[in-house]
Amino acid sequence: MATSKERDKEHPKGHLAMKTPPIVSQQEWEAARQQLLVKEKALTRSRDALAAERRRMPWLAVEKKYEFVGPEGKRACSICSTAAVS
Amino acid sequence: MIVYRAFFDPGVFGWPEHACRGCSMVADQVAHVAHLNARDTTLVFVSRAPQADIARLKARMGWEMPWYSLTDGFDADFGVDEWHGTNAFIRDGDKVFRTYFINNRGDEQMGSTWNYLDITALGRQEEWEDSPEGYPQTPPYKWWNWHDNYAAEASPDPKWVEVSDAGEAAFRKRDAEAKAS
Repeated sequence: MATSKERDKEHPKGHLAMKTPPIVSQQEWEAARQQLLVKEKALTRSRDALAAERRRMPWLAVEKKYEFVGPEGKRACSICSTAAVS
Repeated sequence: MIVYRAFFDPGVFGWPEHACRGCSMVADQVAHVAHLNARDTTLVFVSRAPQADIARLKARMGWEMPWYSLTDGFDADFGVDEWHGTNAFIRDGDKVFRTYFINNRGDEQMGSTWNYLDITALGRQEEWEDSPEGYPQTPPYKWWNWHDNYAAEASPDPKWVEVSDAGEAAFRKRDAEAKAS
């Protein structure tokens, strides 16, 4: 990995090699953040709506019994659950 | 109950010192399972590795989630014999149902209490959620607790209910004022 000194040598102005976004005032930065926040809020609401739809997914019955080995040995259960294994 | 299929199996790259790298990244994201347990939800990892190897791995990496060894066709039956994946099940009396399955990049969202609860059939079980009628729901914030304090405090501490109500009211007031201005 290149040290920061090596990087400075490569880029004498001390600038990053990549093309970075503009440097702005506090006010412009806040405005940009608020603009992005609108979309982020929309994503959060949309994720909640998707989760609501997920809760309405149909259920599939698990008919087989499966066996799992835990720290206390073999457990037979319809599905591995600490509450229900015997 | 949520079951994550982690590849910690003989023959998988990293064996026997490590679980698969992707699966290990998932394991490192997992929040304290006490919060899931408080919503009557269990998270378990399953792998082909024997328990002795799993115990050693958990101790080395500081992982605390329950981790079982597979013995049969569970992985093939639930789409996790070749790739990692997360299945969600629900128990209703003696019956068990598969309610959800996610894999691929869906698994990279897993680990937080909220994202895990969001893939369960009952969700976070909080009042604000749009859930079918009769689903268990309690107010948000109130059931939250320190991960080592759920057992000692079976129902919300009245003082905490008061504090969280006041906090929420103050937040909503500020939010409304900001919108009005």
